[in-house]
Amino acid sequence: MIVFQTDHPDFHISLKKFASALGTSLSHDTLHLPQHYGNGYLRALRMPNGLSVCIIDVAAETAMELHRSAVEPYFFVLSFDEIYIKKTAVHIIGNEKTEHFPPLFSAAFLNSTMFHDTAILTEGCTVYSVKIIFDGKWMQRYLGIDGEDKLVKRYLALRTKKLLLEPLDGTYRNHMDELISADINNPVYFAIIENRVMLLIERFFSRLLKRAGKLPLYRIEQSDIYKMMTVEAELTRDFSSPAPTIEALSDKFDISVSKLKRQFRQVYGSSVYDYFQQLRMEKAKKLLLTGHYTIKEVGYQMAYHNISNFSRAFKKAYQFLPSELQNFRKKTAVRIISDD
Amino acid sequence: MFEFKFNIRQLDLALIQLAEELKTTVTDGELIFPGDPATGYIRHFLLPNDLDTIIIDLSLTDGMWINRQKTDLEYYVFICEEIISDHTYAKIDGVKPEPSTGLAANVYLVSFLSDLRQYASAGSTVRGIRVILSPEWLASYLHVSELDEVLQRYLALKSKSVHVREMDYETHRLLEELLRPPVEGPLRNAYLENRIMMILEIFFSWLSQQMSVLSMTVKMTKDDIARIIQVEKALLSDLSRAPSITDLSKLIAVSASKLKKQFRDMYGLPPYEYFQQQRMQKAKEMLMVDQLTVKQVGNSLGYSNLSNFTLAFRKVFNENPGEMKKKSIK
Repeated sequence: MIVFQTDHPDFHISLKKFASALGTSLSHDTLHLPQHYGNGYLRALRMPNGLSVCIIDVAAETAMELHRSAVEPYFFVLSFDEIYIKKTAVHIIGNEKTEHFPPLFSAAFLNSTMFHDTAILTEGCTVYSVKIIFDGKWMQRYLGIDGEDKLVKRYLALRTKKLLLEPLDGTYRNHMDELISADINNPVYFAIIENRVMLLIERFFSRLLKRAGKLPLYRIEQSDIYKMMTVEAELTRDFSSPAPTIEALSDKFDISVSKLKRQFRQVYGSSVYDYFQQLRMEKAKKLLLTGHYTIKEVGYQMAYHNISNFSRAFKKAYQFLPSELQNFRKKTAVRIISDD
Repeated sequence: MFEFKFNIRQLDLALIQLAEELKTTVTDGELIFPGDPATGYIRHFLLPNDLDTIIIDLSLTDGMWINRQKTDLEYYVFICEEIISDHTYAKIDGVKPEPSTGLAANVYLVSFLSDLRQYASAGSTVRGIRVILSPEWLASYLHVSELDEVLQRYLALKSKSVHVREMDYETHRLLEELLRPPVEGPLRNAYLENRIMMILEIFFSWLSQQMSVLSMTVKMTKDDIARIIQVEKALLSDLSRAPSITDLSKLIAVSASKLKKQFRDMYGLPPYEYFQQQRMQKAKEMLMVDQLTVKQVGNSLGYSNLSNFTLAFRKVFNENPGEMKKKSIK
């Protein structure tokens, strides 16, 4: 069991302390978890624009208890967490406690350092996470949002009991994947990190503001939101085989078909199949843009054994064919001219 | 034909100058064009991370010249635009690439130390962004201390194939997002900044890849590059008389053969041919823009014998200076 206590909001300083508590040290801002605790790394970076960012990609063997004391003046902490839980994970903010259960917790949430914060992870948790710290001034300058903003205050006041979760969807995960998989030796590494971090922040706040009038965000039970996170993960686990049917999902997660359809839409904003299809096409587009695969190969990887079906589906999503992706310039010219 | 020349660093101030010439004003960072020489807008933003930037969306009703004159400031202008035109080109330090027709969708970087002239004919559509970058900004945001050398190398290259990047799909998509009506509200600047930063990231990651490939084929140190840049300046300092290779090699204390090879690696031509091309470009400009006579032009570019001048001109443009001038008058 690892128990760690910090009283500093800056990730880099805390991570340094954490490393020495584990009997190791940082190399290139990175703590590689010593093997007897598990696998993976934690990285703390300070961005050119003043953000403090922590990237975690860890499979922990040991249980962990992490404390951060309340800090004055307070900072905001925005977390994007994807945690696979074996037994349980507990998050205590101030004196409010939330327990997460297996298999998965996958959400973004905004927090502040106003309260003491404790995270207790039982052994065998896998943590894939991006955490960002900034203060009210930063928020004002970069986001144009006042730290004393009513909405933000109300959001923070909701704290844990009705913790406002923003379940992670394909778009969030895409930014996280690009961020976490970025090569630290890339000359523009910091730009890659900062840009993905900014896109995560932009999306989180623009969605929060859009729904400003509607706090709390969901009219469904928290336990149902958790269930949807699991459904979503199952749905998007593998694009190389066709989408699981709604019936199969409803059987697997023991939830009625109509409830599943309704709640999935409430949490992720579109129907189960539309959601699957949108992510699948995003992925196809990304693969095509690498230039390493033919259209046929990408189609196969996305479970299309017929190219024209794949092309049609792609066109439905983007209004142009996969073959036009490389030649998009000609296409643009035609489109712009025909607008006149 | 509308022509606008400026040399101030700040884009907001340049925009005010431009507005004055158009006899209109900039309101909330936006200049709406009055219809002549264009319709559309240029919007200025100072982004939260200090980037000085403009977004351009114009349809030209007249031919337009924009000239950012060289200064001695070490800044860069990053250009990312899609131009649909019968006739358009960007000329850097007098090096004029082949004009393009149809769609020119390009991304490139120009130093303030260079003179940049861009032309687009009437009927063109110009949509894009322009960002001013300082070395300090590049160092802190892109951690480009190593890019220093890369940048120098890049800016020294004037052959179009290496210099200008054809716009890729992602950049095009981001540009489209920038050109949409801005999302009003608190996140507006974050929205713009994030897309501009993504475009910069794509360009600079391409650039560093390109340059590392290039450095494998062209083996030159940072000092070599600086010396060859010095040679190029000396070579063009007086277009009426080309310095000899011996003089040039003395200037930088490098052997004549090494100088010739490295010069060619960087500028794509041997020194004398390069000089000659620049000289004839200048001649053309004097004929067409300044409306000087063939004799005046020949004389001022160091030709005492006009038929030699005509021959040299013909070699570059496949046309006699007199014929070309007649066309311009028409």
